[in-house]
Amino acid sequence: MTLIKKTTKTLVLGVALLGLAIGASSWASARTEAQLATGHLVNKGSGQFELRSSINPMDCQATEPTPCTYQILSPDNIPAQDSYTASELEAFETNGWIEPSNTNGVYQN
Amino acid sequence: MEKHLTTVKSSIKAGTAQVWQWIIRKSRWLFQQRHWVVVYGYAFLYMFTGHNKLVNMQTFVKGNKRIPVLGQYAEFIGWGIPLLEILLAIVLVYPWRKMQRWALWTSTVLMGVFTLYIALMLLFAEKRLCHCGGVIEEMGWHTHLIFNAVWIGLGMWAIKRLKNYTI
Repeated sequence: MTLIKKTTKTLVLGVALLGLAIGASSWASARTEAQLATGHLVNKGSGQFELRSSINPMDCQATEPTPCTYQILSPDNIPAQDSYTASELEAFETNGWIEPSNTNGVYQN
Repeated sequence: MEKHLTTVKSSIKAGTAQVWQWIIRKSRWLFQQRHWVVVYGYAFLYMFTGHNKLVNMQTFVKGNKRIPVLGQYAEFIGWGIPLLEILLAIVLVYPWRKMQRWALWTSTVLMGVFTLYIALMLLFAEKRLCHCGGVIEEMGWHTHLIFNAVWIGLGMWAIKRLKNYTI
């Protein structure tokens, strides 16, 4: 009887621990997902870029000879930031994580 | 009034002493059972990272493809490692001592393999890749190496301690 009680207790503790690990892992995944950038990077001029979830090509004003928007191809590799520099964009593009649009200019919105 | 206050004060004092005694008793018990803390720690760690890799399977496989030499086995590694980690976590908490010891052995060896991978990356790779799962991925490479080495040491110590269990 004592053995059964002890085994059950150990089993319950084990299951609870594994459940806790799954919960912690799910929470960590959700947190990471929220920190990733999805959508587009838009050219705000003077070598500054910003993140947008969706874009309107009509908002591109052809004032710069550089691409107006970039489509994010690999969100896992792009961190969500307030703004991005031209050198960061260059690195993303070299790695194939983003793709430039055909339209050149500065994004107005 | 003053008598009542003294009674309340002494009750609080006695209660606090009882709580402290309970904490000390439990801490002492936990210290005696510390090898089990290692076993359950491994179980938690492997379930956490295994589940995280399964949930983010696409990213994990994609990342594996970029690892030199191992890249060709990306799919196999992608499924194999998390499934092995989850299996080990389950066996580690299963109350059958012989199986637990075997699982702890395998867990420690697997941790050794991960540590070797990190060491090789630190020594030779220009672009280091780690898809270790969750918050562990956010550690620096050197911290990760130390973290793994500590777990290997703890695992070996716990294996030695578990030798006394026969059932």
